[in-house]
Amino acid sequence: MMTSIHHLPVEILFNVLVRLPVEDLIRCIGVCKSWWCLITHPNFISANLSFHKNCNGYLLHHKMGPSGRNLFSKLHMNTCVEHSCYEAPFSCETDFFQLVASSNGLICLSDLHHFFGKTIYLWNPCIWRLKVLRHSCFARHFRDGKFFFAIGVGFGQQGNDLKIVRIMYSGNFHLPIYVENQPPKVEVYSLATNSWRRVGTNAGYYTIDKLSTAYVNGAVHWVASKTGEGYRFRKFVLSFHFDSANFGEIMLPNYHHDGDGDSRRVSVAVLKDSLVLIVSCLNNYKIERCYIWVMREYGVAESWTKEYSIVPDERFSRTFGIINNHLLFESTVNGAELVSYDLENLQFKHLGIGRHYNHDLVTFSESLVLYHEGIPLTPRKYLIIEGGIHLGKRKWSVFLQLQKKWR
Amino acid sequence: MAIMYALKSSDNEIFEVEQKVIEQSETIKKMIEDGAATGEIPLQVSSKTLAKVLEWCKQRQHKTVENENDDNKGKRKKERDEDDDIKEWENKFSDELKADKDVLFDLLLASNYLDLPALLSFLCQLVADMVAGKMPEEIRRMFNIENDFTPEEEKAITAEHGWAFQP
Repeated sequence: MMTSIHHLPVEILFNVLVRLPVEDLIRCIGVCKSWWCLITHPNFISANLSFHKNCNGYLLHHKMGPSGRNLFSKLHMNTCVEHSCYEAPFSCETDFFQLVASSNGLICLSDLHHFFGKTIYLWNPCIWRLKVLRHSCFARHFRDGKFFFAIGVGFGQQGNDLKIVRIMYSGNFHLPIYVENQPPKVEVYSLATNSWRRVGTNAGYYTIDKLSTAYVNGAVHWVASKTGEGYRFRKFVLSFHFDSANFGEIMLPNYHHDGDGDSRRVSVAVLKDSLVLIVSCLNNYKIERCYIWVMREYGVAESWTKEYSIVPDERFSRTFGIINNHLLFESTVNGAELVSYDLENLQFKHLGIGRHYNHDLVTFSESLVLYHEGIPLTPRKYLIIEGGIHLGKRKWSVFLQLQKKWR
Repeated sequence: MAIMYALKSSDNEIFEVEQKVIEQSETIKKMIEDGAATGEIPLQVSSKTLAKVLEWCKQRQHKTVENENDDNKGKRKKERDEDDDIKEWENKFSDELKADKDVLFDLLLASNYLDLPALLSFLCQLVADMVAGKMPEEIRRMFNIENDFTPEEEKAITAEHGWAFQP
């Protein structure tokens, strides 16, 4: 009789299957019960995640038109060849997604603009699982309508537990006013416990650049400015440490004399496990020069060092931050082509990708995370999901009515 | 003069092996260090499988010894040629195993038992490559696995993961 693979100890089978990419694992689930149990076990899911940790690709979020569908293209890291493109099989309240972060195979999305952070979507596009976070410890304040959020994604020091911090500010989205008696409210979500927990306030801080965040050293960082008298426009880096649940302040380097454009844009990023500040000097909506300041010793303001000064040789409209030692730009020519600048060889490279409506570019690695926690979606089918309710496309009017009610 | 050890397979065949070759096995290395390895070392591995294990170990040993003896000059070219040789040898080795899955599984068990991490990871990758890109039915046939799902369960799995089951 031929030997069956089942004569092997389970640890060998584990060692075999852990090497497979996610799509193969989904097929292996259908082989037999014992394989199904093994593959969907949390230990296997995290082992598979660590095994493929360095097999990253790019994920480009773009739209078909100014108000078109949300598409997510997976690109090979070195060749930039697109190997799959997903349409988000769900829509949010405004139908304009903002990609907040991509980690552990999950894409964290939220609504753009006014509703940013109110509902958070965790989506694993490889296994078509979605988790919608609609709850909040401060849900009763939602009724006032005068609030807005900043969110950051990261991990606890132990294990792979994905955590999300959400800061709720009172005020108007366009005219944020710090109200002395209404300090921001802060809560943290943990995927492992699937719950929000309030963590006190970060009184007085107001993060301004909600979209540029950097996760390093167990903390998420934003470029922020302090509100209140005498503090206006003084920028600094606000950090939130996930394990201690504490906020911190990091002074910025003196970048105000960098370049001579009419405006400067600053954002935080991570380069080789160090926190860095990208200063883009703009002139007439074109990047004239880019500086990268590296914080050599974490938390020590004196260690900020200006390490790179990059002069683009063509029209760049903005940067997408740093991915794997490459600073990424969006060019204004060739249909918003993406251009990378290698921070080791100091060379530009045209990636040959880019859409007219690029939104975000992040790294992406495949995983089975959310297999148990998420609701299964039907791939590429246009659905509206809000709080777990599936509605057909033709029921748009119903959705609008519900949306009014939820608001 | 290299120290030789005698390994005894489960079907009582004796294999004379150099210490350096067999020390790749953490299990045997420990036995030698503990002084438990006097005379013949009995192993719960068949002679057919043990021959394969030793084939692998000798190839690995060969590779490391040559690298040590090399001087830097012309090393790169030599290394590249060597890499090609090793690739070729590994391909032949894995083709043989793919053809005879009984030997493959026995070898997996033996590498686990003898604690040969390099061989174990090579074989696991080999099996993973065999599984990759195949449909559940093909995988079952290849590895002689019984489909123990009830029709209802199978239906539910296809409904949920059907998108992955299309070639």
